[in-house]
Amino acid sequence: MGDNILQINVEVEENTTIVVPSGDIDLSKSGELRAVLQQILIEAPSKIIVDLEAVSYMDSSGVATLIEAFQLSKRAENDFVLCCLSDGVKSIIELARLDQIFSIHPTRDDALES
Amino acid sequence: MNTERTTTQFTIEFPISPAWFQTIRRLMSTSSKQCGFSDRDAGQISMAVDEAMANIHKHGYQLDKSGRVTLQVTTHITPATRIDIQLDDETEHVDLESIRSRELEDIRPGGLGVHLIQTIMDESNWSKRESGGVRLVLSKKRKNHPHMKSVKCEGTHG
Repeated sequence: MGDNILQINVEVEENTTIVVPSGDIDLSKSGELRAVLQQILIEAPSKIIVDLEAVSYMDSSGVATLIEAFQLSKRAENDFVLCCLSDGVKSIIELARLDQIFSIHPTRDDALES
Repeated sequence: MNTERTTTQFTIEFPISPAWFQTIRRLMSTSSKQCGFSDRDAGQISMAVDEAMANIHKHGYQLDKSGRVTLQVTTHITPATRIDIQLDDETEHVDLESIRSRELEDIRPGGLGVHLIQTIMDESNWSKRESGGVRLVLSKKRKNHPHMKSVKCEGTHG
């Protein structure tokens, strides 16, 4: 079997919370990202950034997790931003035609300034 | 005499537990690249199989990790680079009519798997097996020229 380990770091800069997952986000791991995002959504920072540079693969359950957090942030009138998409993540975001829905930035600095 | 092998086939049977998915993705990626697909295509073929496995696990076996699937992969190098994938399960209650892509304009979590499979692969065909269960046949050719896509759901086949 695989050795899929997902590590999720959370950093706080003023009113922005930056979520930095590392590893593959598939059906076996998307629940871990969802739990972290749900906790952050309760704390309601004005902006959540998800830095996806170290996520080489994401499946539709990972995308569903991002859509849910995006919609809950929007409802609370807070920002939900993605940055540093790896090729693997970019691929599924484009196939799902979500590249025009999510706010996506090439670097974390761009995401912080957005 | 030309002894170069142009067709390779392997079969693996495994429990449809998400703990296996990363291993199967790596296997699919390696097989796809070895027969000539680009890294990008190989990643997407892996994704299509991953989404198919997730659907079998969630909807077919209803999260029962002891459910089994048989994956058969045939790769062709000549006359054109092509990969044929067959996933057989033993699920009994799946309604083939319910296997369909949803409208992407409806932005909501879930329901993307079939869309991804049908978008990535040239052919995706779900059918009932005579011996019980569902067979999913996937096929993709390396793109050298524009080609048609076929997507269909059929009735009873072995």
